[in-house]
Amino acid sequence: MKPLLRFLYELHYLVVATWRRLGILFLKEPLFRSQLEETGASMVFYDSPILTGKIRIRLGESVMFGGGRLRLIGTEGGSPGELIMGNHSGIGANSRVTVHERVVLEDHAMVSFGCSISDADSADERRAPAPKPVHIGRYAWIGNGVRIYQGVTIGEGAIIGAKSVVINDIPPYCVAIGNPAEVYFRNVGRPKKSPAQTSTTSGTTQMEPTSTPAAPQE
Amino acid sequence: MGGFLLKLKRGDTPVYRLLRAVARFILNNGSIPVPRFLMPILSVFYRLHTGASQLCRRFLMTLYIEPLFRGRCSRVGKHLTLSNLPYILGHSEIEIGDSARFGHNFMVITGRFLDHPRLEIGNGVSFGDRCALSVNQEVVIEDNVTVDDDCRITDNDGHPREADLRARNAPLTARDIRPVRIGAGVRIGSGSQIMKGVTIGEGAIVGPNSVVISPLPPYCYAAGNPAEIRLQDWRSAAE
Repeated sequence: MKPLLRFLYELHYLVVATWRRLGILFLKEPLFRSQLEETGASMVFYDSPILTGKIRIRLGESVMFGGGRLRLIGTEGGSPGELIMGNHSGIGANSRVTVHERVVLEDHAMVSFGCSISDADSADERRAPAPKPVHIGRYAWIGNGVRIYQGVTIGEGAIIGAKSVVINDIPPYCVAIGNPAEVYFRNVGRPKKSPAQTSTTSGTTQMEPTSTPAAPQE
Repeated sequence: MGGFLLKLKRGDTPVYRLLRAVARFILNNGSIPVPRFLMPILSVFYRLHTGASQLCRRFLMTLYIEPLFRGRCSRVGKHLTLSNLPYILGHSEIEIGDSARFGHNFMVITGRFLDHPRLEIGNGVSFGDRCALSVNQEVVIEDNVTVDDDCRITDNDGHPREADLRARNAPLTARDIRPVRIGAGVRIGSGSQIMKGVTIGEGAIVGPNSVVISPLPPYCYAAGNPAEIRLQDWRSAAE
């Protein structure tokens, strides 16, 4: 009896996932692609983001969009906001990106689920002061539920802990956590060779031993 | 058109008054007047409507959702309460005690890294809505723990710490995974997050929207991001 029920449990979600995947493959992804200015050949696509306002989106190769209510919010009037995402970068489910001027995610930057990134102080652009662009460096890793406010630059390979609120610039290769986010550990996860070299010469890479205790990030 | 709308707003003739009433009814979600003698009949219909939907849910729950969930877990105690079918991804072994409660969209996610990930939930444990557990080695939740809405409990980091390994989607190492234990009678506020390697002592309280990254002693009150101990013993401070 138990193995049968176990099988039925897996079957239930297999059917649900297959049905959802078919809808994405034949309907949602092609429709979403029509809204993009530039995109790579492949895309990791869990569900269609909800687009509101005027927004120009330029994507690299295999950019990831999580499911749920992922929202990309542009401007209502005036010049459109610009969202640039590099190769293999991604935004998780239920996140919200408000783009009134420019938000940049460089290559391999990962934003987890439930995040909020905004380059404007207010959702209403008539009342907000001038937007300041947000820049997330390559290999950066943003934990879940993080809020990133306008004008913030996050350095290469920086790790932001879960539920942090980032209002200041974060230097490269560190762990920053808290509200407001402060640097908790320095020199975390820095590869010996530069990541650009190691990704081209695949194989074993020697890691620099980090003396810091284990990082409490998501 | 603008002139007409202004007249509609200001006009004092019976026609304009009627039009205004109609417009208000449509725009302001007016309600249909119901005579008093119809109320008992409508009351019966209300009971039928809610009762029928409850009955359908109950039917689906006992015949489909609960057996499936029991089939997925290795042990489930008596008096299980579910809201919908929990989403369990991966190969974790799940043991659940008596009279456990689960809110909507309960989720357990397991990666490919270790052979026998284990989730143990004690007697009388209650989960709120949208709770998510990430189990890669071991998560133990002891008896009578209350976990509020939107909480996350994770015994791993999710991705490796080194930038180039992360970019290559490399698996987690042993350093990134450490078991979590939550003591009996702990209360975890809504939106909180319990990180890897954390042990929470018996009867502790975690405030809402906290991020717990270090072990907490028994009967303390901790809150904040990262969580700090605000009261060493909340029982003595309660009076």
